Amino acid sequence: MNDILLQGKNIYFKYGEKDSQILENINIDLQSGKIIGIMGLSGSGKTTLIQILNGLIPKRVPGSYKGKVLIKGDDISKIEVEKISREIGTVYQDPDTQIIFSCVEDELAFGPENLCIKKEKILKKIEEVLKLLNMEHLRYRNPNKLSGGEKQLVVIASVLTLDVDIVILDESMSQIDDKGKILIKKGIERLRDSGKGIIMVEHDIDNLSIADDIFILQGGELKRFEGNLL
Amino acid sequence: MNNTIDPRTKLFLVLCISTIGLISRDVLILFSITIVGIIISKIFGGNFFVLIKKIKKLLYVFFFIIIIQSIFTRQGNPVIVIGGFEIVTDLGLNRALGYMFRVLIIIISGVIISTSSERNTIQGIVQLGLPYEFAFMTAVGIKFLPLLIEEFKDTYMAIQLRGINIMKLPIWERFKITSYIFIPVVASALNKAKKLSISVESRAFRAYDRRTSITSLKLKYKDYLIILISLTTAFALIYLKWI
Amino acid sequence: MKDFIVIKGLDFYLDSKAILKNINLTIDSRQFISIRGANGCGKTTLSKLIMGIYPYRKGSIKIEDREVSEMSLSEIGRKIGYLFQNPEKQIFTSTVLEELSFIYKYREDIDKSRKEKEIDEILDTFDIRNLKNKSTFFLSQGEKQRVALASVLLNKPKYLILDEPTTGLDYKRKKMLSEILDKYKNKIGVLLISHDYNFVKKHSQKIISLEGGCIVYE
Repeated sequence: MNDILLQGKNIYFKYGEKDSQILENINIDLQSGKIIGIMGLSGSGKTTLIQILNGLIPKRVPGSYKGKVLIKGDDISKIEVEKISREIGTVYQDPDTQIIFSCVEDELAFGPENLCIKKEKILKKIEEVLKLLNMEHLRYRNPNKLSGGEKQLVVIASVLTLDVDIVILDESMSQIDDKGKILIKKGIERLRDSGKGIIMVEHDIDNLSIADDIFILQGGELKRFEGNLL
Repeated sequence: MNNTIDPRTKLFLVLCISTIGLISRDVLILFSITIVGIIISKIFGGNFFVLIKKIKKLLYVFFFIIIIQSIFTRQGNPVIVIGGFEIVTDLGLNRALGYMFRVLIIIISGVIISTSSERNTIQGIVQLGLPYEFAFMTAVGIKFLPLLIEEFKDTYMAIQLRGINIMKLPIWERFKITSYIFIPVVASALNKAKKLSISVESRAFRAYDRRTSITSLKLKYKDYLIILISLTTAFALIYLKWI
Repeated sequence: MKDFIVIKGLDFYLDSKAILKNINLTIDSRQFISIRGANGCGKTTLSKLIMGIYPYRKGSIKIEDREVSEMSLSEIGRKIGYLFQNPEKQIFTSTVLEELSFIYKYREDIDKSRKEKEIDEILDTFDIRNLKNKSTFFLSQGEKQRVALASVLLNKPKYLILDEPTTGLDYKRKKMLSEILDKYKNKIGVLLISHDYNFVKKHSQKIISLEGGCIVYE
């Protein structure tokens, strides 16, 4: 039985008191070495769910929130947002708004530098992550000049150097071509095989072909996807 | 040459150039500093003329304002007289040229700083004792500025691609239509800033008061030489009251 | 159907790197063509060259027998409607209705008496009637795209170029876009740039692949 890394329990959310419920009674368990896929239409609440699972809601984004999120058994509400980044790495849709530097190595070093990790350990971690994702040849390249798939891999690598066990990908493949998607999927599979827990949120089911379980977010509820799109 | 010069040296050079630019009243000195700045930026691998080409429309507007300003300067001896009316005086012309060179010096300063990677520039600012957040925000701002300029251009083009020949519109309509560019650019800038702030926060930005670094800068003899020459030249100009 | 866009011997370089090599392509006025290829292969570059956004030195691009390099952006825009990959770049005003009314305000060649009727029709065609008074700042990606495309079509162009229109769209919105394209299918030619093979296959009469800067037909 794999360890449970992340749990969402009885989550309810709406933005304003008079607004309609975005999420209703969401329950989700993420185990180590597993990929969960979450699918849903635009406006179904996928990004809201991610922001609850990675702690941005309610700490940074206001709203009417009920429920609990546990990271390895600890209540996320008792951990500061910046320190949650040691546990959960989130990769968003547009790599161009996540890449800051003009060298891949600098990009990967940014997170652990923020956490005051020593230089030698950071360099070792960078080597490990590049090897894991088969990206050693990109170490000194300018990420802004890479292909879409390679850029997205750089962003994934930059959250992995934080030594996280949980990776959440928010529509990270929507701007990527077929070749890039294959590259990213292979990278994600390597993460799963190394014991990480991964949540992938997409609105295209083809992008979730590597998921172990797929759920659909519809009408505020999370249901297991049985194979028929409504 | 570019990769071996410490970004702090470049910051110091820029400080000297821009200080002279700020306090000097002599057009000849300003012109000389501009030329020296262009040469230095070229040696460091900067693309001053490429940048000028990219922002030339913005520069036209700016220089137009400068010319109008010089026309309204009444002091000094007349230089251009039309039909008995003094259009431009020598003092007005002097001021206009002065402003123009100062604008160019600002642009050259930006080009010189941009010849170092943003990572090294941030490290240089931090090693000078300034807070990391300040250095980081400055570097990110510099990175996104060319992207914003591209967005301005794209949106200006998009207006024309609606079949609107902006140059054939009356001048007041032209100004109004140009103002429409700001809406998508501001929206885009706000959107990018929001996404970037979420992304960096997710990577523990400002988690602690301190942070470590895999990069460390050391000044070499070349850097000390450049700093010495810059300092000496600046002091000489001030001391000899050539400024 | 007649030759609407004719490209001959087109080369394009960026920072000394060859992006497009010896491109030869003829597009009929009612044809639905798609261009596929990996990120960075030159699809968007080709579309921007056709639209006169990028200048070209070697080769020829003609729209209705006129060389693109001799036409202004506004002249090209009156013939070809262009949907940017990021529709935010072509939404200028603060509400949807203002956006749709934009060209009626600034173009002397458009019949302003038809403004109300034409906007009314397009609001229904694109299912954006409920967004009429909404601020463009708060539109979703799919909504922005529909508003941008509606604005472009109000221009009554003879041809459309759509750059990655399915990016960021869920299956429902893709279906909606599909239906809109079906409505215009025999009235206006389309050049679709996309890496979404299913969408491309559904609509295109001809699919072209770009690889290494060159055209490879499918």
